[in-house]
Amino acid sequence: MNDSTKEIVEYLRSITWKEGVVVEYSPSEPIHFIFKWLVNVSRKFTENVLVLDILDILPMIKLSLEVAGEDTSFMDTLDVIKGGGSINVGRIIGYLDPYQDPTVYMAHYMRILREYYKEHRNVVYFIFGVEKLVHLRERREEFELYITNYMRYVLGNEDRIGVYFINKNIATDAFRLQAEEAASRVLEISHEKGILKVSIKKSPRLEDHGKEFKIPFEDLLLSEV
Amino acid sequence: MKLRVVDFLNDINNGEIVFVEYKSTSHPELLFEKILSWAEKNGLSILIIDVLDTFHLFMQQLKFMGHETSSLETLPVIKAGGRVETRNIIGRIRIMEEFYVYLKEYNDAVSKFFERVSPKKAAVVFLGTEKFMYSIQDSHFRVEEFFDKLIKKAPFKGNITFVFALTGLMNEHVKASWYECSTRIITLNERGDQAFVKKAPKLNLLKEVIEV
Repeated sequence: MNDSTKEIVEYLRSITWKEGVVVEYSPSEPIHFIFKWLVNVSRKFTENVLVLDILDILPMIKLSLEVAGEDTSFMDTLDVIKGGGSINVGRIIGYLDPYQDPTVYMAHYMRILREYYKEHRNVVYFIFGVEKLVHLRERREEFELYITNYMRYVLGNEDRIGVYFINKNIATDAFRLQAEEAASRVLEISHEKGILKVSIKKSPRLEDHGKEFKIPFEDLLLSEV
Repeated sequence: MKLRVVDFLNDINNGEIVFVEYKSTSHPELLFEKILSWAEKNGLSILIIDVLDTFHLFMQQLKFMGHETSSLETLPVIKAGGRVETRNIIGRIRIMEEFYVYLKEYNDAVSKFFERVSPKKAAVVFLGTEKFMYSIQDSHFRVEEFFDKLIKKAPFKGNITFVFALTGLMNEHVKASWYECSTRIITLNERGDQAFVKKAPKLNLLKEVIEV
């Protein structure tokens, strides 16, 4: 394993409960490998990995991993809340209809989470596709404020590590900026020539701002992290 | 030569508005913390006008950085929208209602505070106002009305106002209006540990860098 890979694993392990981490990617990044790798890292210290899958991003990740010839059995044991979409991956613990009024599906969402946290401690919570919800609303501005207010509210309150995957080409500026503000850490992912680059845009330790980690693709494939 | 925060703050006169702009990946809470402890040391009453849980957010970020926040959390807060029950809420404003409802509830809450602290001087800190503005800024009329009726208000005269705002959310009209009505503008760097003086009443302060 490359030294930079070891350093990023160390960095990820320094994240504390109740933090919110924004991971920004563009749709051409290999997020299927990144997700698998992050689940691997998470499972070193907890069994409980929860996913919010808005509009079928998780099935897309599964398909890409299968095509790449990767083992996807780790996905069968993920706890998943579906937000719309039609293909189930993992153990579905709840379903939300994002075409309903946000106050309706958010009330339902909070009930599902409350129940889940009652039974599960030390949860790493991966959230995919919140940026898409903004586009389902006619009064976009109001919803951008509403949903990012919720992100501020859960920071430091909800006893989990929240990892928001945000497709920066789909996210509106107002959503992305407020999501970044509401996060304790912001990481940006890009790749070139067989190397994945993780840049730290925000972190509780000021010295970490601007750091870059370079992970060779082969390190992402290692099951030992 | 870098300017110390206290020196910058000690230079501020009553009646001034200080506009602090920051990026989404910065740590504005560091300067916020310094301003509050300075205000406390100088015997000023403190009022926080918090839109959509930005105060809660600042407190959490400080905690993740290992700072002690319990004394800050008991400061009086007027809450506009938001979900978090902070410790000392002295007034509430609904924000998704009609603008005049906001205006009325805002004025009531603020006047109540000033009746209580008068004749003591106060430091008023606005957090997250750019978020409320975001919902009204498509109307130039509303923006002008906002500044006329909420910001350039009599209760604030003689006190010091600090406005923290996330850049990028404000359109040009809103930003230019804040710039215009503020006596000082400072821009925080990427980390939030330095601030660049963009506007100041005294020319020698212009382009200075403040060490937070």
